[in-house]
Formats: sequence, C-alpha cells, structure tokens
Amino acid sequence: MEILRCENLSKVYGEGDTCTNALKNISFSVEKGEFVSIVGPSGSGKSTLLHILGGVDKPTKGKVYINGTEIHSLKEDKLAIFRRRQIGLIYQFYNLLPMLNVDENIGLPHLLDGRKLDMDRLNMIVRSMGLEERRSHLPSQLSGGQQQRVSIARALYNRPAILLADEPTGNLDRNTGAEIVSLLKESNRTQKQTLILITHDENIALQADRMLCIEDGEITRDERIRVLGGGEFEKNS
Amino acid sequence: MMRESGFLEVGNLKKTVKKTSRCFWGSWGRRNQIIYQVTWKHMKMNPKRTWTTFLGIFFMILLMTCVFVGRRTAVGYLQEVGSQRKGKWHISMYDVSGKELQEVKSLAYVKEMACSADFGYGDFEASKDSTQPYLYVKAYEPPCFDWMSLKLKEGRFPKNEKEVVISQSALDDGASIAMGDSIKMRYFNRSITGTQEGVTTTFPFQNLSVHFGETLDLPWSFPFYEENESFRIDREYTGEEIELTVVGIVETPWFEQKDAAGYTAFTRYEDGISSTFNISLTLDMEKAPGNLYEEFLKIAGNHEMEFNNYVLAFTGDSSDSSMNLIIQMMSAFFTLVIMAAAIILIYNVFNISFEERSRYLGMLCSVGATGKQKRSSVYFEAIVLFFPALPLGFFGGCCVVFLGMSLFQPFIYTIMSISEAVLGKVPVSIEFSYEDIAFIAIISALTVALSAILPAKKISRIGPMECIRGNIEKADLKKQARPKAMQRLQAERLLAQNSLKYQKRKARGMKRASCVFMVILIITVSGTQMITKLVSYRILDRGALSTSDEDWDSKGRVMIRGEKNNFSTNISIRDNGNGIAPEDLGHIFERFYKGKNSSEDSIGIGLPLSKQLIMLQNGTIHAMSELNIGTEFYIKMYSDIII
Repeated sequence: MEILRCENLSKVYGEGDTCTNALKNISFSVEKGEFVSIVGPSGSGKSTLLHILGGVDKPTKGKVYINGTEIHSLKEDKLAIFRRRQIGLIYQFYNLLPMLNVDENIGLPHLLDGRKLDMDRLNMIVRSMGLEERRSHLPSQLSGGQQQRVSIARALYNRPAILLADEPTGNLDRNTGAEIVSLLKESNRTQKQTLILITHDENIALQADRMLCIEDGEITRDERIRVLGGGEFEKNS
Repeated sequence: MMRESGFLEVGNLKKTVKKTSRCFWGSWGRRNQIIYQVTWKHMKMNPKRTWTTFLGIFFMILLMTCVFVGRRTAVGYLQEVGSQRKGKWHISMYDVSGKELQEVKSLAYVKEMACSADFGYGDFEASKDSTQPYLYVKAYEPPCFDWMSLKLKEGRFPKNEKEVVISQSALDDGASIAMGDSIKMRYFNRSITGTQEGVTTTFPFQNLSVHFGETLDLPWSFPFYEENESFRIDREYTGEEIELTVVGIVETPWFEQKDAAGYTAFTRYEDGISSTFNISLTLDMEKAPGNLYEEFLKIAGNHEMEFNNYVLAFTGDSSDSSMNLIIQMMSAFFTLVIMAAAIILIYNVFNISFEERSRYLGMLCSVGATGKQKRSSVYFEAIVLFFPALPLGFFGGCCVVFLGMSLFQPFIYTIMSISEAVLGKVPVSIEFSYEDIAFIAIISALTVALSAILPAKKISRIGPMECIRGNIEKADLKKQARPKAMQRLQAERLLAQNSLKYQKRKARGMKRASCVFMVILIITVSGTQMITKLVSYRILDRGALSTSDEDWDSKGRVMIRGEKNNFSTNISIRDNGNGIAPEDLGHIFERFYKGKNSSEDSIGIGLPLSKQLIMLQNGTIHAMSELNIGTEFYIKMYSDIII
C-alpha cells in the first residue's frame, strides 16, 4: 500500500542571480512499512526534500501525498495539525524543548493536540528506548544519544503514518549512532513503521530496504536493497 | 420496537452533542495547556526579561491609577479643604420660613436638605474661663453635623431639643462638665447700647462702632466685654428656661471663635421649633440647571443667601465648567500619553525577546504547534503578568498619589488662598470609586492587549524551518548580502555589517523603551514646573521676592514678612522703591487717585481694591512710606483668616 507519493517536486531558493535549484522535478513513492534511506553529498538537497515531505517546508512546485492527502494544499494550521498526528520528524540536533522533561517532550505532539497522555503507550515507548531512569530529567541533563532517543520516542508516540529522520546519527559517535539506527529499524520491523532516513553513513544506508541517491537536486539512483518482508537483494533501476 | 429505537436514537444524539461540546472546550483548554506550561517555564528561565515586562505593565497601571485616583483624590481633597472654610453644604439661606422651605423641597436637583437655627446664648455656670461665661447653642438637623465636619469625641449626637453636645474647647479650658450632666438655661440674644454722651465706642477687631443712644444686636462671635460707662450690654430672652442634658462632646468645631463670649454647643433641630430658621442644602450637580443661581435668588427673595463657592468650585458646578473641562482634558491627555508610552514599552519588551521566544516556539512549531497556539503563548504571558500587576500597580499608584498629595498640600493651600491656620487639619485620604477601578482595569487590559497583538502576530508567522536552520534573525532581516556587493566589498566587512545590523536591532528596542521613559519624565517635570510657575505667579507679579535682608541694597526688592498670634495674622510687605510723598500717603486708598511717584500705567485701582477686599474679610491695611527709601504696607487679618 502506497503511503507517500511525491510528484515533480521542485524547490528554488533565492531570486535572480542568487537563484539555487535545490530540488529538480523529483517524483517517487514509498510503500507502507518501507525503510528508505536517502544518501547524497552535502548540499545535494536531501534535507530540503525531507523537510518538504515532512510538511515543514514548502515546495516551489509539485505535490506531496501522505495517506492520500496533498499536504501542501492544506492551510498552515491544518498542516500543523496533520504534521503532529501523521508525521514523525527526527532532527540531527534533536529539537527538544529545554524546559520540558523527558516524559513531557515525548508526549508533546499529543499534548498539543489537547489529548491526555496514554500512560501505557508512554511507558512502553520509554522502556523500548531505554529511558526509564531518565523520565524526569531535562534535555540538558541527558547525553546526545539519550536526547536523540527522546526525540525518536516523541516521533513514534503518536503512531505516525511516516517517520522522517534527518541525519539522526550525524551528531553522535559510531556506537551510539548504531544503537539509534537499530532502534529505528526495530520500530520499522515490529510496528511496520514507514521510515525515511537521511544519512552520510553508507553502512546505515545499506541497512534500509531501499536506497535513494540524490545529487544536485535530482535522484540519481533508486536501489531496492531487499524485498519488503523478505531479505533478498533486488536491483530496481 | 420502533418507539424504543427512536428513543434510543434521541438519547444517543443527546449524548453525542454533550460529549462533543465537552470535548471541544476540554480539548481547547488542554490544547493550550502545554503551551502555557512551556511559556511559564520559559518565563521562569528568563527572569530578567519577565521582570522587565512585569515592571512595564506595573508602571503603566501605576501611572493610570495616578491619573484617575489622583484626579478624584485631588478634587476630593480640594473640596475637603474648601469645606474647611464654611462646611460641606452648597447653598444656605438664612432666617427663612416654611414658604421657602416648601419651594426648595420641590426642586428636583436638591440632593439633601437640612434646617438649622441659632438658639442663642445661655449661661454656662460650669465655665472656668471668665471671658467665656456662656454657651452658644445651635440647633442642627442630622446632616448638618456632617456638613459642618463635627466629629464626636465621646457620646452621641443629640436626638431632641433637650439634648446637647458641647465643644471640647470648654473641657480644655477646665469647665466642670461631663456626659450626663444637665444644664439649666434660658436662651437670649445680646445687644449693645452706647451710654456715654458724645462717645463712640469702637471694637476694631469686630468692625463694630456704637454711638451714644444706639442699640446694636451683637453677632455670636462677639467677645465678652465688661461693661463700662460708655456702653451697656443687654440680654433679650427668647424663651422659657429649659433643662438640657449633655449627651456628647465634640471636637472643637473649626468655626468656633477663640475669643467669642461662649463655647459652642449643639442641639437637635426639630420641625416647628422655631418660626424662622436656616436651610442648608447640597445639590445633585448632574441635574442642576445652568441658571441655578437665578433660581435660588428668586426663592430666597429678600432673605440672606450664601453659595459655598469653596466647595461648589470643585463639584462640577455648571458655572465653573472651565475647571471641569481642564481636569477632564488633562486626564484624557495623560491617559493617552501613558497608553502610548506603555504600548511602545511593552511592545518592545515583547519584541526584544523575539529571538529567544522564536527558538522555543519554532521547536513547538516543528512538532506541530499551530499559529493560534503560538500566539496564545504571547497572550498567556501578557495575562499572567497583567493579573498580579493590576492590584500591585493600583496599590502603588495610590501610594504615589498619597505621597504626591502630601507633598503638594502646601501648594493647594496657597492656590486656594487659605492661611496656615487650617493647614494640616485635612489629612490626605485616597478616594476612588468602583468605576475608576473598572476603568483602570479595562484601559490597562486594552493597552497590554494592543502591545501584545503585534509581537504575537509576528511570532505566529515563524515557521519551523527558521528554527530548524537556526536563522530566525536572518529570516527577519530584509536585506541579505548579495554576491555583487560581496565582490565589491570584502566578505569580512559584510559579515561585520550584518552583525552590526543584528546588534542594532536588539539595541533599537532598548532605545525605544528608554526614549519612552525620557518623554514621560520630561512631561512630568515640565508639568510640575508649570504648576509651580502658576503658583508663584500668583504671589509674585513683578519684581523679585525676598524674605530676608540679604541683597536689600539692590533696587526693586520686595520683602514679605508674616507672623501669627491668637487673634490675628499680620503681614508686612516692604519695598525699597521710590516711596510715596507725605501729601499723597493719605489718599492712596482712594479710588483713581494718582500720586506723584506712581507709575504711568497705574490707574489708581489696585490699593483701593486691596483695602476693600481686606476689609471684607475683617482685616485692616495701612501704609508707611518715606521718599526714596521705600514703602511698607501692614495688613492685619483677624482670627481664622486668609492671606
């Protein structure tokens, strides 16, 4: 089942002389439960693509459908609500609110929706992220890896249709990075969580079901690494 | 079955509606709850900024309070001081009868009315002061006690004409009287008759002369004089002997004359007690017509009537509308200045914190906070700071008004030309009404709302991208470095320029805020100066004023000296000018008389007018002069008198 589709996405920054084409006519789709990694050199436009997919940035042209909804045609507030319910975003620098503790940060999208926290779900997620001992700590009292785990827990809490991670390991050492990736993979495997992940690390990229390479704002490669639910290699393009 | 399902459906529908509405409100509150929580924590993490905002709101409310409470307190105080002269009543008619009473009663704009009468003297055997052997008994209806500012020291006010309250001054002088005592007396009036042929006895302090064979009624304030061969004092009894019971002691009334022949006592005025009586009344100023004075003059006819202008001047009387207009214009002006200042100040404080606020709001935004939720963060902060600031600012404002009034007190007496004899008698009391509080609250809330709206709108426009990229400031900077400029200028210089621009933006808010305070300060200072100037202008028309001998040799000096004793206030005004020629000196108080040395623009009306005014107030004026040395005027004002 198709969960994400983008059509002819273009993004242009600046005007006239300073005009930069960050994305050029990008189209692809992602199936439910798929784990897609996006790789590419710095400045190739992969972060821009992820932000447009996540609804935090607007494309100059093109459409993004998530679960059949064209997100960029939504009004700003509707889009914000859609984002907190359907999209989980993980950033390189965690984006945790410094004044809220671990539990509150995890439940934030849910609380913004005006709903009460589901303690069972919270406990489950906190446990699966190994944060039981840290629940009442503030972000400043946590290590980088722990902060990133909180940010993953926040993204997962609302059972989003799609999880978007922008270099989640970029700021972490190798071991901690591997830990984070395995947590993400775990949720992809067990919860059938659709996951799109940007990385520089080839090892991480190769753990995905499918790998997209972006260069200069264009998809240069779209490689299926293993079949959904199976384990075999398959070349797609 | 059908029925049952229909019922069920309706029931379900009701349930759903109820549930939805509860959910709507519940989730609305909860939806913002986390925003409030985050904002609150953010406020606690930035105490400096939070305090600045709080103080901004606090001072705004304080200043608003100063305007509204200050206005009411000042007017109330002026009224109170004014009432020291003659009491709180507005209009009095003397020696009227039932006819006038009925006419006054029929007027719709008379708020309160009370009758009183002077019963006259009675022997007061308990007196220990031989110059004050009488009681002078006045009969009041209850409102008069308040209008004449009588305060009970002990006991209660009289309930009938057999009960009496006595002035504390009698006890101070050692009179052996106490509550519950009874006094037997017969009321009488006093008259004086000249008994020595060819002799006219003059009582200068009372402005009274009696010729041989002449009989004059004595005013109640006339002192006790031993009879001698040139005059005789007679009594004219006005009724039978009655027995009065002392039910209370009042603080010495402000209008009691120290040298009068009797202590003051008050009994209760009852209908029909006396065929002629006095009417005092207060007016409902909002209903009072423009031709108020004419209407009352018509009713009073030949009877003596008095308008208490000292009180009427400050009660919004239509005849003195210019003063009310000035007061209203001034409060409107100050309100607007304060509002404008506060809006600029609070707006800037909110704006200074733009960047740090955007950081956490941007984060919230990246996890899905809506524009409304971002705005509600600013509103929440404004409200949270406004509510404690409101009572504190109000209280602070009241304190400032109290201090200001206490400092300004001497000026008020000067402006109102009231002597120091009564100074200090009126304590400053803060006055405000519920409408004032409501108005201050509404205006302040409006100001805070206006100050918060723009920053809130600006903040709600921040998207998550700015936060993610960490370029909130840049997004707001309109001009960005351009490659062409980059080629022309060096990159370092551009960087420096950009950073300067950023610094400037931060500094601009501070500059604006401090400008606002400067403006307020300047307005306040110049306003105070204006008032001081006005006050001194009244005292010092031309020439320099001096109160010491210093610098006396230089020409054009004026020296004013004053002293006060039990009977009079004496003022001397001396200059070192050209002096008045001896032949002119006897005529200077004549109207349109011009002496040799008088200046060209003199028309000979100032001194005669001064003399008339002084004499009207029981005073005397005379002059001594020596050519080329100077002139000195002596003014003597008897008893509770005015400068």
